[in-house]
Amino acid sequence: MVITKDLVCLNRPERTKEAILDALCAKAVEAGRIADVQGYREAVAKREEEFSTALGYLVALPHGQSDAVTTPFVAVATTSEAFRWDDRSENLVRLVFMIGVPLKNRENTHLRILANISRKLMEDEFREKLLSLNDTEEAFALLSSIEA
Amino acid sequence: MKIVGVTACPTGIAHTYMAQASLMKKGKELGHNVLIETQGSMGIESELKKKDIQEADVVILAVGCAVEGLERFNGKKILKIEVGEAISHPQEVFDKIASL
Repeated sequence: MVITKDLVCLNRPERTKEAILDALCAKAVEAGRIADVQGYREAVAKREEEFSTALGYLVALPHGQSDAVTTPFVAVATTSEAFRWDDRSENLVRLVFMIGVPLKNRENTHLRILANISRKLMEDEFREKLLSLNDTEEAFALLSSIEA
Repeated sequence: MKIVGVTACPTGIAHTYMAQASLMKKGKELGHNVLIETQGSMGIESELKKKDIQEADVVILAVGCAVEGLERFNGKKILKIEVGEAISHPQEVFDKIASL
């Protein structure tokens, strides 16, 4: 499983990129997906430097490829309010999909799920539905339906 | 119009596929026939067929890194854009195509 229920959190109070990444990293560590938080954060920061992963639609997809990641994962957060992701654009974010992929031991099954999730995020109804949910269980069920 | 394209980004994990979905969605809305090949973490997928390239009016390259097989598009009308533009502003991409 790329997404598990303990990697989903809704209506978070965070209002900055760094704060929400901290919160999601804590989740991923608890879930045993990241062995080295600092190493993973560096990979994410490097990717953000290339270009911002907030590209509109209230979505950001920060991601890092690093062997600091033990198992491929997506940690998902919605925030209670939209916030500005970075100084590069005016793009606001309320939906954060934080992705981790190891450099070794990559399996196409996992990469395919990540590709499917990325495509799904371009569907208006999917994003609206996810943002409307207050129950983690329901959000997890919606997210799991993509993996299949 | 018949449009083919390639999307690719440096890590090939997320934006390659978002850009593909974004261009295909907007293209469909506008009544175009759009086929997009992805060059990402799983290699080349939805590989464009020779016939589709031949028939295409325009080729979109939404790429943020080196891609394979560019010689397939020799002689075609090509629109080169950033991956991010394909995701954030697909309407503008098709406006550009219309004015090529």
